[in-house]
Amino acid sequence: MQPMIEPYLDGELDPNRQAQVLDHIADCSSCNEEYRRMQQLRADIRAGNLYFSAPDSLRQRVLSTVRNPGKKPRVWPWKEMAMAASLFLVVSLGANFVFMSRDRSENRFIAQEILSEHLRSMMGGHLVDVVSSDRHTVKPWFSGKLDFSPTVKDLGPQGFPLSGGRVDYMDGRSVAALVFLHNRHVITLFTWPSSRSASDASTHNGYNTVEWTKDGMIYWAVSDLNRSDLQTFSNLYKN
Amino acid sequence: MTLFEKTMLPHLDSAYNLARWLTRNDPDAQDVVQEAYVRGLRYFDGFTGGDGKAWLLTIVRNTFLTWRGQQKSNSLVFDEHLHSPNARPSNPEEAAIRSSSLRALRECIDALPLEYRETLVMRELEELSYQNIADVASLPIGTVMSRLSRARKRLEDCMTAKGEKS
Repeated sequence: MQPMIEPYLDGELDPNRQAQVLDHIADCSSCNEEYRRMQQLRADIRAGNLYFSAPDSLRQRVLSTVRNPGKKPRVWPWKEMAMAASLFLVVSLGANFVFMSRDRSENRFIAQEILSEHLRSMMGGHLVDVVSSDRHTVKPWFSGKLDFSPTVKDLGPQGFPLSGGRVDYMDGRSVAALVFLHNRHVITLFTWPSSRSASDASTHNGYNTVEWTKDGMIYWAVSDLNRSDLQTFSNLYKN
Repeated sequence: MTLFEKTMLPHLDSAYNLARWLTRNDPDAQDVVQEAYVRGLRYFDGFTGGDGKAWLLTIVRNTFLTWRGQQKSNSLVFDEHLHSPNARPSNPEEAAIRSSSLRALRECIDALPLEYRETLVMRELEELSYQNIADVASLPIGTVMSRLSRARKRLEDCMTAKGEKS
C-alpha cells in the first residue's frame, strides 16, 4: 500500500482505489505518518511562493516574436544593419564571380551592388555629400560631378522627405544616389542613364529593391522599408 | 489574434516557470522561452488540439535540453554552480526569499538532479497529471511515479539536513 500513498495524494487513483488507500492510511501508523509528511511537503511547496511568473518584458518579447516570425527584435537597427552589411560584403564578393556573365543575371548583380552601396553608406555614416531637402540645391550640386542631370524630387509632403545626395560608382560609371527618409527608414535611390530594361521588385537579405526605367534613365530604390511602402515611394517618384 | 496566440500565450507563465526551474536563472529562462515560442510557431501545424499546456511545455523542455547541450559544447563545461541561484543574486525579490525560511526549500529543489527537479516542478507547481508529465518528458508513467517519489524523498532529506544545520 505504501507506493499508493503518493498517487493518492496526487489524485491519480480511481474512486475505488482512493477509498481503499484512505482506509489503509487510517489503520497503518507508518503510512499515516508518511502521508502527513507528504502533505506537509506539498503545503510547504505551494505556500512557498515558488512559482515564477513570466516578467512583462518577456511577454512583450514573445508577443513581438510570434507576430513577426523570422525577425529578431530590433534593439538598435543601425548595429543590425552594420552586421548585415559586413555579412553582405562577404556574400557580394562571392557574387562578383557568380554574376559576372552579362546576361539576365546582370540586373541581379546590380541589385547586389546597389544594396552593397546602400549598406556601406549607412555603415560609414556617409549618407550624403550634399545635405538638403531642397531639390533646387541638390540637383545643381550634381552638375560637374556627373555626365548627366538626374531628376530630383522632394516627396516630403507625401511622407518621403529628401535628405540629400551623393555620387556613387556603379555599373561601371558614376551614378547619382539620392537619399530619402520615411519614418526611421533610409531609402537610397540610385539613378543613371541606361538603355537596359528594368526587371521589377526584389528582396535581398531582408532589403527590398524596386527598379524602373523612365526617359532613358534607370532607377533603383533600395531600403529596409517594407515592400509596399517602397512601391508607394517608387510610384510617387515615377509620376 | 491567431490560433497559435490564442492557444499558447495563456501558458506563458507555465513556460517561464518550467524554464526558470530548469535553467535556474532568469536570463537563460527568458531565452529558452522565447526560442520555445519560435519553435512552437514553426511546429504548430503538428498540434492536433488537446492539452496546449503540455504541448508547449514539451517544447520548452526540448529547447532547454538543446540549450544545455550548447552550453556544454561551448568549451565551457555547463557549470551547475554558476547556474545556481546562489551565484546570481539577481533581484531583490530573490534576495528577500532567500533571507526567509523559504530559502532552504528553494535551494533544495534547485539542488535536485534535473530529472527529479523537472518532475517535481511539473507536478507540484504546474499541477500536471502523471500522464501529462509522461507525455512532456517522453517517459512511461511508472518512471514518472518513481522519479516523483524520489524527488520528494530527496527534498525531504535535504530539508531535514538544512534544518539540523541551522
